[in-house]
Amino acid sequence: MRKIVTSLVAVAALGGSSFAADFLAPVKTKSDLSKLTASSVELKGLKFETVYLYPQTAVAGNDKESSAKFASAQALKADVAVLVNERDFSVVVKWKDSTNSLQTQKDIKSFGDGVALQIPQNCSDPAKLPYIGMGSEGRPVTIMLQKNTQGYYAPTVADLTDTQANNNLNLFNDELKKKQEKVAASATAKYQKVFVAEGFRSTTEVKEQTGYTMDMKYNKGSWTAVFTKKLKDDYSSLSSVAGKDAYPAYGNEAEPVKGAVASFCDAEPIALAIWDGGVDGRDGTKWLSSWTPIKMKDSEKSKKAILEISAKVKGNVANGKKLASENCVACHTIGSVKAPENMAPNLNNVGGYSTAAYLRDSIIAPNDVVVPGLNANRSPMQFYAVDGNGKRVSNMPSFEHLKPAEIDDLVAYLQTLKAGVKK
Amino acid sequence: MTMTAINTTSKRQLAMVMDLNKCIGCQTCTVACKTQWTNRNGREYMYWNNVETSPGEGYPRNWQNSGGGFDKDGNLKEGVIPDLEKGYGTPWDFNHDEMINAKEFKSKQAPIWGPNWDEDQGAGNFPSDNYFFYIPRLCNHCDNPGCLASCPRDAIFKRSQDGVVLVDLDRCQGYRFCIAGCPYKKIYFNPRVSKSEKCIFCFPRIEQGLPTACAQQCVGRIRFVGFLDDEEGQVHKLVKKYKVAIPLKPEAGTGANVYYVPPVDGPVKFDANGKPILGSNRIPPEHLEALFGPEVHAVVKTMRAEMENKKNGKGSEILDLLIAYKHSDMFRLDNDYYKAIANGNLRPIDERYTAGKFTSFKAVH
Repeated sequence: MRKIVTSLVAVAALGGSSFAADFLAPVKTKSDLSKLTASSVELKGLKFETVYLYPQTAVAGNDKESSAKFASAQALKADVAVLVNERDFSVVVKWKDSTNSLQTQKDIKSFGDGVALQIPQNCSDPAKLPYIGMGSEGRPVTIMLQKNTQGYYAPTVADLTDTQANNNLNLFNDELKKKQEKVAASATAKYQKVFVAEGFRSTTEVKEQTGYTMDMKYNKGSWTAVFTKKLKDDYSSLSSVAGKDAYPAYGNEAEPVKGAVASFCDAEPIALAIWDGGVDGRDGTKWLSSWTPIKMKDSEKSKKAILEISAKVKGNVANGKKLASENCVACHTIGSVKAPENMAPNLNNVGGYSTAAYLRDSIIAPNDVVVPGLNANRSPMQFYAVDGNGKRVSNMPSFEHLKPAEIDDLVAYLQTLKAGVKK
Repeated sequence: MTMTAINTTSKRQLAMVMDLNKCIGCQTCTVACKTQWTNRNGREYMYWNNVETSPGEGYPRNWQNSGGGFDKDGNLKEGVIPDLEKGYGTPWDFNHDEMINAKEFKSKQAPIWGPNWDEDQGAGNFPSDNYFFYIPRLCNHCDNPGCLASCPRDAIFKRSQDGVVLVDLDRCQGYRFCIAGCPYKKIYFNPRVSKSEKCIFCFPRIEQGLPTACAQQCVGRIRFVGFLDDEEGQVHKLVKKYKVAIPLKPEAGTGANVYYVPPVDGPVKFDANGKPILGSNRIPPEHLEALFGPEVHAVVKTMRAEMENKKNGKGSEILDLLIAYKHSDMFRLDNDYYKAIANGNLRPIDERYTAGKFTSFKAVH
């Protein structure tokens, strides 16, 4: 662990520009953001803030080759900017990637580079945001995901009957040509999807994708990606008034909108995930940022929320480490101290993609967020037990018996658990 | 949306028994499956059912050592995704057009590997002790499927009505951890639709009372299909009552539901003078144990005793059963059961395969 702490100090020494931003400031524009692409002129001269993404190591996948390639992954630096107009909101992300990886139609082991934007559906309590890994039960998120793929054929339900259940096509000449054209036309040019989720097993695609646009472009060793969505949609609300575009007013102190799915927050948290096809990255083999607030409105409320979401806890890290070795490592892997497999999430990068509030909450009330692991039939050693109602209950006991100062120390230590930054 | 526990257990379980003593490696099952399901739309390289020569590297190449399944403690074991060309082998084209101009007939690209590439090679030295036998393989529709356990999307499900394991193609996002997770490498990635696909145990046939295509077409009549809990069924008798049918690679911990009657007696070995060594057996017990686990020795013993009984006129229900007189006895699919579930409906009894399991998401607030 000494190594990780040292590398952090090294990063700090690089100077201000390398520090992660506490919040992102949206840039107002009159441009039609729904037409924004990774090549748009609007991106020129835009001020970018730094967001760090850390290798997801809480739950490991079972692909031997990919795990080996990903094992020594360092943190990834991304430059992020936010644009808003009266209707839409765009997030622009730039990051370095030495390889332009494409998932092709001709290979079964090619994986495309990709990037995702995650938005909580409810951010009214910044201390109880969804779990960073695609939300958690009762705390849903909306995810916009784009990947670098060659066009592929997404079977619709009607096509399924055609391709799965029927026998060979008895078609020739013109008829066959027509059929082939129909099949070709059903190819999706790009992988751009919107999901809603309450934990990674529940991820569900939003098929009626209106008001979402995405684009990503590779140029000279780095990717630029844009995500645009309406400020308000069925799943999240970045605007304060229902039906109207209230953004220009910078949000009247919003009353919760009747019938609206989500609440408007003065500070709207977003999180990013980045995949590198070069390490066979997909799903959990990714880099993940912590929740990063966008200051949608300059208010006391937003100041408080930003403070909560970006908090660095002051505590005695050395004592926190000692407490962790006494209380945590029997179940959680930390550094090179390996806990039994599948006992609890690995904590090696937990400081990189968690808010202090989440860490604190996980110590005191482990049941608030139960991380969904793989291997659901595994018992009894699992992150959770399933109660009589089919609900997952964490197997971790509460550590609220620790003194408040000790919890501070522990959280301060856990915040140091993260990989160094890729140079 | 509620996060219910994964559907991993089933009320009833369909199973298949294959008598390897009768398999002649004709690949009729392979062709029956291929023409039915996998000759199109990105599945060209897949063989949901294949017959391979054992010992041999099989299909995909070296699948036996490609990881997946579970360790002793029930943890997922890491696995690899086979290479398309070197592992599965891509169907290659021939230069038919050039042949018209009297060019040499050859493949357009150099074939590297393919299903059945090492057919009939086997092991040992010809002619003294060389040996091989055939082993047809398909998805084992496991009790605790490695593919299901390693899917981060919960996109693989086990039907509660009959234990058939299917991929929910709506949920599948093509991450391919299932391929690493299957110790039999019987789930495949379709790059054209970017989804994983696998043997569906011919469920549309099964639900209409017909056996799987591979079983129906088997010329050696080696396959039995039925419910494990059907005590009158031959599958139950071979697996549960007489315990002469055992799963492949039981150490993988998945609880496979395709069972094999192991090859009992190969030809005898020859000595240096080319004379048969009476009482010898070319198939080493260790080889059988590597495939079927230590249980195999008891099975071989039982089968030998039964053969002896039959020879001596004492009769043997096991051998009579394995002769496979009637399809109606070999395939007991309990059509009344399916009809009752389907309630007169022709659609599949469980529509998750085509409709998607969680397609409607209701946000919780």
